Amino acid sequence: MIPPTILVVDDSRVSRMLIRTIINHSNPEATVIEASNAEEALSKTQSTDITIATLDLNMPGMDGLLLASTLLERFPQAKIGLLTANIQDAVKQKAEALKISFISKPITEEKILKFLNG
Amino acid sequence: MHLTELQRDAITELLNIGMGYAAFSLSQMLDDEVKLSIPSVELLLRQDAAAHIEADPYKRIVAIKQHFRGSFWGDVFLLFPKENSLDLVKALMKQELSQDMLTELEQDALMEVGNVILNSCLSTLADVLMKEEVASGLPIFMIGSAQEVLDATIPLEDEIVMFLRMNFKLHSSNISGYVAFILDIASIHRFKDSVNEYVRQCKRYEKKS
Repeated sequence: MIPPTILVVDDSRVSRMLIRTIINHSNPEATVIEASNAEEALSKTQSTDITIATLDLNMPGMDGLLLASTLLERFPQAKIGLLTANIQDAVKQKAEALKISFISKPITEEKILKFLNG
Repeated sequence: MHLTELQRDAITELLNIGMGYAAFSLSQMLDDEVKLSIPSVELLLRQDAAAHIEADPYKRIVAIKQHFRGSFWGDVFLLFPKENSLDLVKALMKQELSQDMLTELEQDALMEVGNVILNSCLSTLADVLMKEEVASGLPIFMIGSAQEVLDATIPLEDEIVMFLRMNFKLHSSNISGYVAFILDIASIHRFKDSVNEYVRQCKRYEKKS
């Protein structure tokens, strides 16, 4: 199987570090692309195919939901997870409408692995 | 302006639920049990609010502040003493890091802790109390005395603020802090309306069962 390319977008460096550590432990072959905002994520994936993405919701500039719909246009097969501490029903419904996964923060190994392998 | 016993009871209970979820989040982040205090609800004069945060006017505290706006609005804070902030970062990162690296990550890590705690609490309150989605801004990081933190927050024209507060403490370390909501006068009225509506719903439910 081709190792996955996983895009990790979060304005918190600590969050990106935690997610990367969890991915590296579970699948050392995976390629991780980190971005601290949506614009950076879009430019870093211009010439790369991504299979999986975890997107923070609340970031400066474009938010994670808007980024998700932009990414889905380019990578319709990608598995996308919206990662947020904003666990309001309204936000969950927006994720559902885009058919992407909703992952509540805090980041735990269990939640990330469930998303990656699910 | 005052709160009836029932209103006070409802607010305390909602804070318990919101902070309960926030404590659950924090315990997952830090792998430790989080103990919560009884919530307090007070209407304070602006000039008295700082003393409620910290009795020592010169003591430096770390504050992560998030503005929120829905059917009512205000600022929510995560506050803790500056001296144990690095312990919190250490507990969060779950890997051995040099002192330099810890210091470098401090602000980012504390903002993320704040983001998770404040949003857990806020989302729970919003789902119960607000008819509309609550929008929250990006977290802001501040270090200073309680007075400096508040001066940067409460508009000068506001004489009364509502101060909701709940303390937390970690079981196996001496990390502690608290969450405070500050609502200005116009927002307090809207907040009370939401609380009244919630109380009415509870009463209807009580009659049914």
